[in-house]
Amino acid sequence: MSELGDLDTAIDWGTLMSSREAIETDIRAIVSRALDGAIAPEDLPTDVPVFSGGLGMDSMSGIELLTAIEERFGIYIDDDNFQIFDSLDQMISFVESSLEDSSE
Amino acid sequence: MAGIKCVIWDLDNTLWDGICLEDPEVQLRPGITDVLAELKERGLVQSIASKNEEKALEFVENFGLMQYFVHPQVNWDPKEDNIKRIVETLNIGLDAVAFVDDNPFERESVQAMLPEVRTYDALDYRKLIELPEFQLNYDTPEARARGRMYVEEAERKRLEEEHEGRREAFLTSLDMVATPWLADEDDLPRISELVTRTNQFNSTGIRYSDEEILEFFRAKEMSFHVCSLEDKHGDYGRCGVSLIRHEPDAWNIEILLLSCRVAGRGLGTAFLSHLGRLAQESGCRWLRAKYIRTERNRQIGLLYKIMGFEKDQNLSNEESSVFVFDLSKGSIECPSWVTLTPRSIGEPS
Repeated sequence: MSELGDLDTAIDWGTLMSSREAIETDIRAIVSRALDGAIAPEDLPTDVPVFSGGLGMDSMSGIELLTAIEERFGIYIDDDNFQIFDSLDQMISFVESSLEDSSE
Repeated sequence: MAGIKCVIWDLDNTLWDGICLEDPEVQLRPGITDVLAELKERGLVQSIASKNEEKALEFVENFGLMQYFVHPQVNWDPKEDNIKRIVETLNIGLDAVAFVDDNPFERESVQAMLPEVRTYDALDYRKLIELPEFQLNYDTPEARARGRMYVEEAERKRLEEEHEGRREAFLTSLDMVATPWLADEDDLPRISELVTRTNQFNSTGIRYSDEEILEFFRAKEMSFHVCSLEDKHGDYGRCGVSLIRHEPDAWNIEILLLSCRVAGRGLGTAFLSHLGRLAQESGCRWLRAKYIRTERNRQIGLLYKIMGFEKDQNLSNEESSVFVFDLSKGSIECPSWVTLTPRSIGEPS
């Protein structure tokens, strides 16, 4: 599970100001890895669902992705927040607002 | 206390007396073969974690014991790493693992690194089969076949790794056939077994007693459905269970259980597409699914999300969530790589 979490470009989110671009870069890398590299990070569309009808991820890769995002950003994703899988845009926004909440 | 699904054995001074690389004449511990055979008969899967040269496996082979073990790990890595490797390949929880070693250092080290694993002194090998956690709680064909199924699963995994191209092409190559049916009395022991043993793909995590299950089975407004799975490598037996509470306009999935051995093959989706179709045919608009999050069952919540269920905020509360699918807007699609062959009532198996 943690394999997806330790990316080469380690950023300490606790001390660094979160910027949307940095979050997006990380999320693209994590999603691409959860897709076993089938789509390169820079080629991922940000407006389609992560699961069926979109990137086609199944529940096994889905749980890897969920865990990787949680570990990476130190946040918790509840089943109330599953809309994040509707698009990468929503996923990025969710992480961004969660980090803002936790830094207050 | 959860039952043991997998026993991991040390070699030197555990299966046999002495150290095989120093003494080529080592002798098996008396009665060890009977213990291994009995555990296999009960459907427990067994493996090896030994700090040794690979040559040690030749001794296992020459003693005729290789048939009892899958994924033997013979190397100089820490035992906890080898145990983790075995557990990941088998897709079971650490709390279902027994580790048998003569060396207290190894047992303590495993205990410290993997506290869920239960460790046993090799001196007690004869007593293992008497312990409650090694008993077969539900004597079903699936339970007794478990060891063989893990071996088949290992073969699938190997092919999957070899398979180039997309996962979907691999899954299609398995020729999976899912057969769901309305459960009858003969299915109750297997239902109880899955209720007791399933962690990751258990929609509520509630361990219902046999009596409660019988009550559900007899309740007029409830029905149990089970689903078996076969592919070209073998038969998984009954590996899906669902309990439906019927309402005039809705089928409510009170329990959804999938054996972790079928994880990632689309059986959950196939089973739900079948239930959705039955609900539709009986004139219901809603397929609802109760979900109680546990530490290990988040896949189930994700599964509902993936299939297009939405969380119903009115029916959800702090303890449990309800996901809902509007059948008037469409059906749940069965994955293209699974053939669904529902069995109707009274049809022989």
